[in-house]
Amino acid sequence: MPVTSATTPLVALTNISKHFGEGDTRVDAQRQVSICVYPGEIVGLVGPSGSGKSTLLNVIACILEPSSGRMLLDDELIYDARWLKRDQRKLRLDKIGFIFQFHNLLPFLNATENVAMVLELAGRTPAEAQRRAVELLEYLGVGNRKNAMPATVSGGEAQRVAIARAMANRPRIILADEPTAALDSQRAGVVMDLMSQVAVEQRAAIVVVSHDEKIFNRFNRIFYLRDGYLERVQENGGST
Amino acid sequence: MTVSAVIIALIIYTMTMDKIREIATLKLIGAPDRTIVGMIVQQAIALGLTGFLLGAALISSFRTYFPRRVVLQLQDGLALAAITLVVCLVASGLGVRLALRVDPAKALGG
Repeated sequence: MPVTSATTPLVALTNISKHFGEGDTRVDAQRQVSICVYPGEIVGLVGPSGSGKSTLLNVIACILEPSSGRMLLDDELIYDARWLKRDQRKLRLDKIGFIFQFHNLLPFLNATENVAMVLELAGRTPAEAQRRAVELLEYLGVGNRKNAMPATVSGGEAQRVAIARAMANRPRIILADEPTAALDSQRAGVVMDLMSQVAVEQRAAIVVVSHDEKIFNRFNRIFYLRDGYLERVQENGGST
Repeated sequence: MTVSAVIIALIIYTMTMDKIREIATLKLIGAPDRTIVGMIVQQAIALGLTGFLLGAALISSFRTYFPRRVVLQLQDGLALAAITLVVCLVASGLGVRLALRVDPAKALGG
């Protein structure tokens, strides 16, 4: 049983490298990247296109196998030169929540059903799932939209529903891919406030890939990537 | 029957193609393959049933307008329903194959 203290990182990558192809066609997408993200933190992965942000996010999401290195998620060794967990799908369901640029809510399910679905996948009964989904929507201020279909809610509301879905199974790690790119400044601020609230109250580690400079000051730390390297780390202070 | 199977397969395939992002999202958040396969098979069965019922309704509505008729007994109708179901299940294979190959990374990356 993993034991996580306040100082134990929820995401710990050590010398993670990833290359595609071999010989003349070899592309190094990640070169010896080491980062740690602690409970209650929101960190940004920032860099120009091709810097390796998405590759790193895919590695942390356990959908892309690194070429070498070591990775611990929630104090559990997941990768050490090879996957140590056979079922990465279950790992994602239990440990990781996802927030997307375009919310990616299922268009044929209403807000509550979108959140409840993740809970049912994890084995909750439909009644339990429904109850927790409504609680989460209320916690995030969209309880009044619980029966709305994704096509009928605003971008900000849809992103709140997506945050509720990401939090549904109480994951300790939340990965967000450009979560504010499709939102105006005001709504982006609200979404970042909610993510900060989730990080602090749920003691979760949130990793955000973003190009959106208006939210850089909301990160506790920013990891700048360039050409697959971790170029520098900027500390923003914040609430950790 | 082969032509019907091909048409149904192509429809299911196209409908699955339109849902690549949703399927990738489901896979990324941890939905097992059986859930995704189940959704596609349900869709194929719904399509087949809708077609069968629509056909049956058309036959019963317009049969009196035709001078020559083929008499279909209840067991013929049931056999046709079973064949339709089997054709739909077989035809959904192409969509299932596509769905199982969807990379969950497609849900990320905008």
